[in-house]
Amino acid sequence: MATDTKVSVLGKNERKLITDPIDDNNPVTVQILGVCSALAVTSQVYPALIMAIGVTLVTAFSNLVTSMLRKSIPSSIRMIVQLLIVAALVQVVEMLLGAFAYSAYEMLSVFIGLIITNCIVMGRLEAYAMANKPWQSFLDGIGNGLGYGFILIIMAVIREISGKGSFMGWKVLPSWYIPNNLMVLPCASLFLIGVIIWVQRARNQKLVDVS
Amino acid sequence: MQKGLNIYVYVLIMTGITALVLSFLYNVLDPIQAKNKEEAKKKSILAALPDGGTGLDFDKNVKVVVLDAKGKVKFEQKADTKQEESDKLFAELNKRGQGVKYAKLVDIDLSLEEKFPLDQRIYPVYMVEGKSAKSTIVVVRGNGLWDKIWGYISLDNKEGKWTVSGVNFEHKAETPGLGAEIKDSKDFKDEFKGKQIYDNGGKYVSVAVVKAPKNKNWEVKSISGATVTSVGVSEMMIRGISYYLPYLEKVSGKADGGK
Amino acid sequence: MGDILNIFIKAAFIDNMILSYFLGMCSYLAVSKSVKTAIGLGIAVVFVLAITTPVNWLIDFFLMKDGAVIPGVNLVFLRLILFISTIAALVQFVEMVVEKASPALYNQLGIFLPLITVNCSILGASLFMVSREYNFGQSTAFGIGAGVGWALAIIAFAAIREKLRTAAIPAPLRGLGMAFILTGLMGMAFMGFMGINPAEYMK
Repeated sequence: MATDTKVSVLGKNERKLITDPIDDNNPVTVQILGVCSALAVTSQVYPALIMAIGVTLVTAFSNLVTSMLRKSIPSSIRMIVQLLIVAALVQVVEMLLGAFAYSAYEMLSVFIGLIITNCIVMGRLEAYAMANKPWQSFLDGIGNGLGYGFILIIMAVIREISGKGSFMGWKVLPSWYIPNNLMVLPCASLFLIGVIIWVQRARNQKLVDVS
Repeated sequence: MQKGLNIYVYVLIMTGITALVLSFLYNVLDPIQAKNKEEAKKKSILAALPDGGTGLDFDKNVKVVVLDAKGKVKFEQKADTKQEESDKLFAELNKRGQGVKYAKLVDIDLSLEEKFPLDQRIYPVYMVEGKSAKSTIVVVRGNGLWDKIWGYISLDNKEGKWTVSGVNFEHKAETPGLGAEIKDSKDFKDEFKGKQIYDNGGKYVSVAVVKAPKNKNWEVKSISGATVTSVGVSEMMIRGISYYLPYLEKVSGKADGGK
Repeated sequence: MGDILNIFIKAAFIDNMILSYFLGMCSYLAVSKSVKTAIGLGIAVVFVLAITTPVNWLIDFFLMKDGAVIPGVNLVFLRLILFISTIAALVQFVEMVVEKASPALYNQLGIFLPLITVNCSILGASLFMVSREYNFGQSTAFGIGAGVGWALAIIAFAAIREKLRTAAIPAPLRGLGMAFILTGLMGMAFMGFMGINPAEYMK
């Protein structure tokens, strides 16, 4: 977590803040954060996409707000203040979805509220935003949100195409393809994420778990 | 910052700011969400029609009839029905308590009616006047595997015989790919089209969902792998439509159900 | 009574928090390397769920209903904030009580308690309770059942993981990758409970 002292809008370090979490330091497959919702909302692409956007917004803005307040937050009630910020932002996202993306709001139901306990958000607040400048924290939030969304969408695409023969609700596979119902069942997402981790670690030896 | 008092003040200020921001957004966004919910419901009702209700406007093409627990007409919306008349109905219905507050005819919902004992419930009927045909849509509600399921059943009165012209099912939390197929599978919903709700002897049979349909006139094939949901649909159809029978039989003009 | 037992069994086995809804996965994966710690965390989760779900029900019932505090004002938009603060406060409270009352238990549970605030299954149980419109008794049964189910899953999982340490697994799949696939298999096994309606056996 290199913090640069230079103030630049989008320098090399800032770009790295965004790209790093997508692969090498992916929150889902490497840091194992935010797995819960990654598994539950990926049976179709559309809700997964909305969820990814929601989490990215919450991570980015909670990082921003926490970073701006980081010097004034009393350390003894740090957690409560962070939770308050996150909960308020999640509530805002929930209301926005209800107003502007109602069908996704219906599909995601309680999982929107559960963004609060998505460990990515709290994890980034503790690990990054409490010690870094607002702009960098904001980018770090976007990067982690994108890393999370990336995995979510890969899984959703595979599951929707193989499990339903469709993509974003449109039929893409010819009619002789019999949809594999196993892929839309919840446990398929666990197999899939296991395989994604396997592929990623086979490609990137430094991530291999030695224990 | 180290003093206890400062911490309380800090928390108080933070909470105050968040509460203000949230309440402002809530006031702006909640009406939009309520409207979305209403639109989604109207669309879902019209989707029960054989052509999916394309080109129909709920507010113009649909008239609502409200039945009491015995299936008698309690309220009938007509082209010249005034707001005061429906307001009178709502005032009466809202007196039942349980936090149920109706303000529009489309608000009437079986999920809210379930809070009352059977003899206090009311049942909405949606009379659709499309370009070509007239349809009567009734609402049924039951239990799936995980949670509630409900459906809108469009019925046609063909020479005194009530037949299903289309259905639209919804569910709260059925398993995707299995139970959720009652909503997602067009083939399953299409199977209901043309089914009779009375057998040839005039006995009420509703539409049964069974593993191996023997009688094509009032049985449809269940979804494999989703037995509980299919049984739930079957139970919901037979019980749900039975509440409407006195009304349907009165309309079809034959008290014995149109042999 | 049968209704409450029904909800308890459903929450523990059929609607298992981890294996059907994947709630509380983070701590489930992190703290399942040995059976002993898994039992500790499992008990702590049962404890916290059994307390927070009914308390959040009371909050929801007395504060969030339309016009409950100030007539004509609906406070639902504060639901998430109130739920999560109640959970955070109660976890803190439980930690203090356990520390005073039973230092031995505190030594076992202590390190897990702070982790629990951000365990999605706790907030998830409260949100499910609202969306399923349970009453007070049902909420309590649901909270305890969900906790028992969660504990059961993590203890079984930890036991399998202990055995797996000696198995020949391809290096890139070791650890996390295998853990996910294993959970998937357990989830499939738990699907066997799907469709069972305990109420039918209680008649």
